[in-house]
Amino acid sequence: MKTQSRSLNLLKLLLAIGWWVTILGAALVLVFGTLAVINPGEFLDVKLTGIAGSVDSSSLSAVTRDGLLTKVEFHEPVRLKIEVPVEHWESRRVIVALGGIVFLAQLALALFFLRFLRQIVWSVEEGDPFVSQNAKRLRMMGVIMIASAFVGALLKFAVSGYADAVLRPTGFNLDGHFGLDFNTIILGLSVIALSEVFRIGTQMREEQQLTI
Amino acid sequence: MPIEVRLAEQMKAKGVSLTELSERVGLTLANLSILKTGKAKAIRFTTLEAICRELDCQPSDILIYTKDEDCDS
Repeated sequence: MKTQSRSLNLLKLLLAIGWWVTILGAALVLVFGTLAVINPGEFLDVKLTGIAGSVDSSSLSAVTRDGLLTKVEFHEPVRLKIEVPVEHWESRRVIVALGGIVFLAQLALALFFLRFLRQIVWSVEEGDPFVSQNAKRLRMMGVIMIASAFVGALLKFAVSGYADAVLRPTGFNLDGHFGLDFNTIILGLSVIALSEVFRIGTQMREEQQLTI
Repeated sequence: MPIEVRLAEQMKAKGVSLTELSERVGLTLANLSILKTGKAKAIRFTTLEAICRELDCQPSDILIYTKDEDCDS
């Protein structure tokens, strides 16, 4: 019993840290993002993430142990970090504003997710987690996971698409890339399915309890 | 709910208190109170039998079906 309460306390502590770090992160993004949009030249390290297809790999090569030269090429599109020149301040402003807004949306979703998770843990601590509210919380957590995957994909698409629009690459092509995280979506759907099981379970329990 | 529990009326008619009936039927005061106030979702045959025995009445004296127009919508 003591081990259980210890693990529960550790879980509560970790979730509280996650909660406050996310709030702090959101505040920092808001402050520095606003400063960067107002004066984009001050922030020297503005980089775009581009997705490069058809990368020229003619300069790359490998030699086998017995001395034979082999051809090397990229199997999948490659993620690139492209620094935006300081003079190109308008692009910097757009990138920072766009990135900041989507990142804040991600942080807001993370805060909602953590809030629901903390409420579930608190209900466990109170000794009665099998309540219909927890089924609703689980369902919302699943929805948030799916929404988060789409927001993340939208960010990747916007940034890589913008990189494609403003840059003329040499030796590779830049493509707009909608990188949807299917693992997170499958996980979110699983959580929603579990929440339905939980909801029916709580209903059965309530009926059982109110059978006199 | 269209099923109405008329336990309070039967208890009053027979002059039995909630505490007394709970002791005679073998239910906790809290559970009998849930039944009396109509919050119960189901009733066991054994409970119904014990109540009918102690109050000397029929199940139809305790459980009554009333057509609830609000529930139809």
